Amino acid sequence: MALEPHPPESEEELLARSCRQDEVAFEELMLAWTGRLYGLALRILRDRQQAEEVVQDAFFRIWNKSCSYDQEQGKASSWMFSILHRLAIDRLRRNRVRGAGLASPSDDVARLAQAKSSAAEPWQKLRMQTALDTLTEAQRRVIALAYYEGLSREEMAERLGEPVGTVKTRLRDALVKLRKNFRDPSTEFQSLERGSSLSCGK
Amino acid sequence: MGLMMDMMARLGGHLVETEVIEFALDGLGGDARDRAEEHLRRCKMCRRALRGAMDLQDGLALSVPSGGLPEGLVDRVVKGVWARRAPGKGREDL
Repeated sequence: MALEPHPPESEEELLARSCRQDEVAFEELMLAWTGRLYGLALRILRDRQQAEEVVQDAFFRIWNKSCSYDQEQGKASSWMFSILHRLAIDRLRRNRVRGAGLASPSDDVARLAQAKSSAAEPWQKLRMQTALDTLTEAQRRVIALAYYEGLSREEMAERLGEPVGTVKTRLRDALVKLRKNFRDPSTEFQSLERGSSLSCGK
Repeated sequence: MGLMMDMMARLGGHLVETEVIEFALDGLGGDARDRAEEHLRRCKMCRRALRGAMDLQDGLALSVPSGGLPEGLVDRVVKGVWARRAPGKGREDL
């Protein structure tokens, strides 16, 4: 009798096993996630060597922090991307201070709008593409400057040559619109829109 | 409409929608991030909101144009991560 193949374990399961010091599980996670984390790191840093170093830093941190992952605050994928993103933006800021690897004026709008292929999660990518298409070019630009370059509102205003207030409003509108149009039906935004209680229950 | 929601959230001591989204995208810095973390620790409703917003992180992260990976990247990353552990220790506090 043929054995049924096991379905691949989710990132959440692999992280839980990693928390119990299961090195095999963590290697499985690294095999599955190196490409995705590297893609984001490379996009932010635009330097292969630095991207590789940041991916390694991120996995080291993920291994060390795997027990602190809390499913209540989001999927494991988001948690891992968040760790990578923070490390890459920190590195980018240090590069800027040193005057190295300065990002060129953003051509992110075009890249963001034309991002075509990713090996994984085509449905999620399509949803994001559709959501981005609903933004104006100026709105996409501030999203790109904020997320891929880690610029503050003041830095964005300086880069764009516009008042800080204008940039703040544009970013706010862009984030809300993007969130609204990217909404995943399985993780509905449980906000005041639904008239939820104002109390902060634990 | 959004501003009204923000005002209601503020009155209830909650994070406003943009704060939740920016927290999800690592866009809050310094004191604002600390305040948000502190609030999220004790507010179930905002944690649920955050969970929803975290999807954006995945979406934007996956929206980068992908190319081929450098040869041997995965092997180097795996080896590098294990090599950084202190001898005899499984984990380090960071």
